[in-house]
Amino acid sequence: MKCVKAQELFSAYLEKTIQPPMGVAFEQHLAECARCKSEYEKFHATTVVLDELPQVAPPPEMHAAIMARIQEARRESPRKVNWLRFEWPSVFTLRVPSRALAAGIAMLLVFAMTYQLTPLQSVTANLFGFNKHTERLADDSGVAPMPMPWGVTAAGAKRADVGGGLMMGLSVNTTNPESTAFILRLAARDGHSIPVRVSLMGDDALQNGASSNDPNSVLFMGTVAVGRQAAVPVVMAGCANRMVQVAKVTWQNGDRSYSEYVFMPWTLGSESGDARVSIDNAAGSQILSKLSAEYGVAVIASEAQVAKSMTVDVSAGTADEALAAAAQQMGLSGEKLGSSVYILK
Amino acid sequence: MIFKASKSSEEREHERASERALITRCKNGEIGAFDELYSRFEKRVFNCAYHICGNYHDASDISQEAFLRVFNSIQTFRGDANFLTWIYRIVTNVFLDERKKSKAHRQTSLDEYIELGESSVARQIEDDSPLPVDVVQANERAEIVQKAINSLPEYQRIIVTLYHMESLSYDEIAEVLQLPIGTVKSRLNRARLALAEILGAKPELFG
Ligand SMILES: [Zn+2]
Repeated sequence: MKCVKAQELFSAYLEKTIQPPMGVAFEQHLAECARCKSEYEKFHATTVVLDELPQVAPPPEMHAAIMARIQEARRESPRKVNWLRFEWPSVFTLRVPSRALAAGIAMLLVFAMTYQLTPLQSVTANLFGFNKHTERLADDSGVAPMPMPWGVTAAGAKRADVGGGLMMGLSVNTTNPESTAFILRLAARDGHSIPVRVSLMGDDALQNGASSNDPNSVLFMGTVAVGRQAAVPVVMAGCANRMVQVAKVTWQNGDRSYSEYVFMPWTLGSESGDARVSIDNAAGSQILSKLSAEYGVAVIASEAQVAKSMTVDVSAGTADEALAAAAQQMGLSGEKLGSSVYILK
Repeated sequence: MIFKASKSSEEREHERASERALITRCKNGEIGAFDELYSRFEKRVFNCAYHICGNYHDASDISQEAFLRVFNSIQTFRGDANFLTWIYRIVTNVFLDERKKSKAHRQTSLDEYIELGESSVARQIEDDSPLPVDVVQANERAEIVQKAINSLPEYQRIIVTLYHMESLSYDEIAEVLQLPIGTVKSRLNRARLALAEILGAKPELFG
């Protein structure tokens, strides 16, 4: 054994995690090499000194200083603090903006979360329920990079290129019986940021394919910055009077604008055995809503596909088969982005 | 023995439960809960900051910033995650951010410190005559060790601090720094070798 190798093993030997054959070779080297032996003794003594390093007492004024700064932070952003008044595992003990309830929309954009997800810097958000209040998010890049704030299931781990320079993905959490939480993940593919608007589609708008002009339905309006992922959380409550919510994502790239629809079911991954979806000559949006609800799948599809009228008759045992068949009948191809999340192209 | 062991695990469970309750209250925006959270973690946060940055004043700044970040981002804390490693992660991130901001700030090695230093400790070390063991007071000894730690690269001193001063396991350190365990182990070994090299030249430390 060489000296360098022996020294690499000092910690493992000290902590007795060294593998037996290696331990024998190590001891043999120490028996033969006076230098390593003395180095090891210093090494050992050093770890003892480190373990015994005394604690230092924090400055007594630190407590008051920190509490004052926290109070100040609360005062500066009362809205934020309001929105922070919930606990994730039970999302729907929180206060739903009365406006949202009045509108019968059981979905929320949870601003606090969008704000806290680290990569969202320099995003301007126009928030649903805040009456077009626009706020530039503070530079919060210092927040420790966290995993998603709840145990997001693996569903939709992949992101798809939806064209127009945008990548789109969908994460879902269904562990809470009272809510289904989605995070729509957007990222700019090319070297420039992209202005994006995400809004919720009402029934009327869905049926005639028109975009919703209701300002209350805007979930997110801002810019997806280069190298950062915008995460738009959408939470569906059990009290929702519909089984599927549909978000429309519109963005601009160059002088072209693009639109994509995201169909989000209340029950995800509930493969209903032998469900049948048979619709004659209806808008693609209606067909996809029905598929989403019946098979418990989230579907992403472009506006052009959604607006077209078509006929679909699908009867399949699994969501995979159903989506494949439906895509074929619609003249599209489907890709699976994750468990129960599909994109049609 | 068995009874004692089971009781301590029960105690740990109880501690975790009360910690979770406290976090929930913080998430609800209860300012009193933050006060309690502060008291609970103050010493650990401050000591961790002190040992990685090496001075009292910066340690206070880092601690304040870290607690503010904890306050601002507690909503993103997942209930099933380890709160302690989460807090340490914030502290180390604050430290690394501060270092980035003042990158001109060159790392000063212990030798340079001895040359430039003004404190009595530095002068005492400069002095060639060997010191009797009892002359090196505990504080001075700690100061020498601290200076040696500060001569290490950033990640090494963080790992030394978390392992030796904060008694975290390799797994926990890997979680804090988001590094593979193997990397944590090899960096700690390298850090210890470097410290042994510096401190080994001062036998009076090992009284
Ligand atoms: Zn050797």
